[in-house]
Amino acid sequence: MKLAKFTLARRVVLLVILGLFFFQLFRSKILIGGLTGSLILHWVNLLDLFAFLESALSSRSFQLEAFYSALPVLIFYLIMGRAFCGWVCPLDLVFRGVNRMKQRSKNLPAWTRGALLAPAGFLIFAALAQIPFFASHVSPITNFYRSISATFFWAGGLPGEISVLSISILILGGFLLLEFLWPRLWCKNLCPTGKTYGLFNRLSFLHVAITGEECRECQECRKACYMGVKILPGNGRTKIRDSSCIICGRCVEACSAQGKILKMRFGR
Amino acid sequence: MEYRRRDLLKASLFTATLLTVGCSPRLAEREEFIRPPGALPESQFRATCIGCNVCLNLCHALKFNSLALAGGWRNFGTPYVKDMRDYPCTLCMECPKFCPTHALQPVSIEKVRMGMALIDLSLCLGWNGDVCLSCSKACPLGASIFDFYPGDWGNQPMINEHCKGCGLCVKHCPVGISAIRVLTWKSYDQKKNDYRSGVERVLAMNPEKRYAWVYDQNMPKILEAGKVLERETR
Repeated sequence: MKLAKFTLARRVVLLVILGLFFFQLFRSKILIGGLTGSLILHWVNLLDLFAFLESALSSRSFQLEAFYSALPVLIFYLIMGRAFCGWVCPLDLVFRGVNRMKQRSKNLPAWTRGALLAPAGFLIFAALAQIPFFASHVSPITNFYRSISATFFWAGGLPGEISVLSISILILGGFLLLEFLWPRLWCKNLCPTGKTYGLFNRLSFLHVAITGEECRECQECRKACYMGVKILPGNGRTKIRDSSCIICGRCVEACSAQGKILKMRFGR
Repeated sequence: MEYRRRDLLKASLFTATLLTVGCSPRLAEREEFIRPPGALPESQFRATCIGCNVCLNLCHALKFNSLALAGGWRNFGTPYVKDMRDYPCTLCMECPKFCPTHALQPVSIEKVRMGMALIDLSLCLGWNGDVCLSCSKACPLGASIFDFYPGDWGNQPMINEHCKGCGLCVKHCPVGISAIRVLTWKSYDQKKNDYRSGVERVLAMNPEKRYAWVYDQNMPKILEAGKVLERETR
């Protein structure tokens, strides 16, 4: 077996970030909160971009300080593209576990394929209902971190409500079921958070580059890609700019030309 | 990307389902919560808070553990101060400083309006012939919050409307089930007149009536309340 260096690096990054968030339960102040909104080193706030949009729409006000929290995230993913999904999001790891349970290659329901269906739907709903419904109620990322904290607080006898814990876990379970029935339906077609970062793929410095080497069209890259990106043949493209590319590097690892055709590149 | 009519239909069905779930009047019932310091007005706070848990976990990391997450549809995942008997807010003002969406705004302690503490006169030791004043000693803003009515029955404490609602007095009350309760401003406004007239009535009592009120009516209650929960020092 080849050394899957990108997969290894991805898992290390993911687990380090997850671990730093986990240590907040033991009073470490390195990373506090969750991936929807967080506080680094008791110093800088970070705010997920879709959550920022939703919160601004539902409260019908533009908070400059909230924008300052979202700004570092905006700048980082302008450089890194949709790498959030492949490298940071804990649900990628969780869903990978579900995918391993049973290989299914079911066709995804066609109606979910609208590029802006879920993001626009949730934004409109947030504006009408005046609660940031996706970020606070639905988001599997929020529910993931919330259920960890709530479980810890409940086990430690600290103040909390048991219904919050059970509902968070129920929602997470719903996402696992969805993943089991239609692998990566959520990531590919629906997740508003990922779609927001996907917009930056057109500009990002980090991307998968296609060199001019001849491709034998073995289709290994497309089999490896679980986001369904059309990778090779390149048809004259030099970069993959597809908004569903999560820059995970699995295609680079899978390529039978051993890195001659596909390369992970940082730069314009 | 091509859209067909059926896609549109399904998309509208999707949105309609979400709308029904979120807006159905039974689920939209409002509850009142005591929010962390510096919170925006209730509806605005609910619209801004994304439930990211920074305040909750920061409070935990600072060893206060004052905050809990609220349940229910409209308030799901939003923070509030739940258990003031054991975990009152200490007004350290760290959570509003670091709220990512600014649903909690960094204000000075003087401008915090989390709630309003009310002393239950029938349980308070200071109103029943004892010298206690634990609440006023626990209060972080002391003299500006407490009014005193000195009289034959001791120095009787009263909390005025500058109260921040942090709940430190609730924790430090020696009566088993604290004689103080913190109300949201909304429910305080409803109870205000009754409460004030109750205070006036007690102050206007003649010595015999007051004696009967303290020893016949209140003492059994206080003794009973003391048994409810043994005070734990944390």
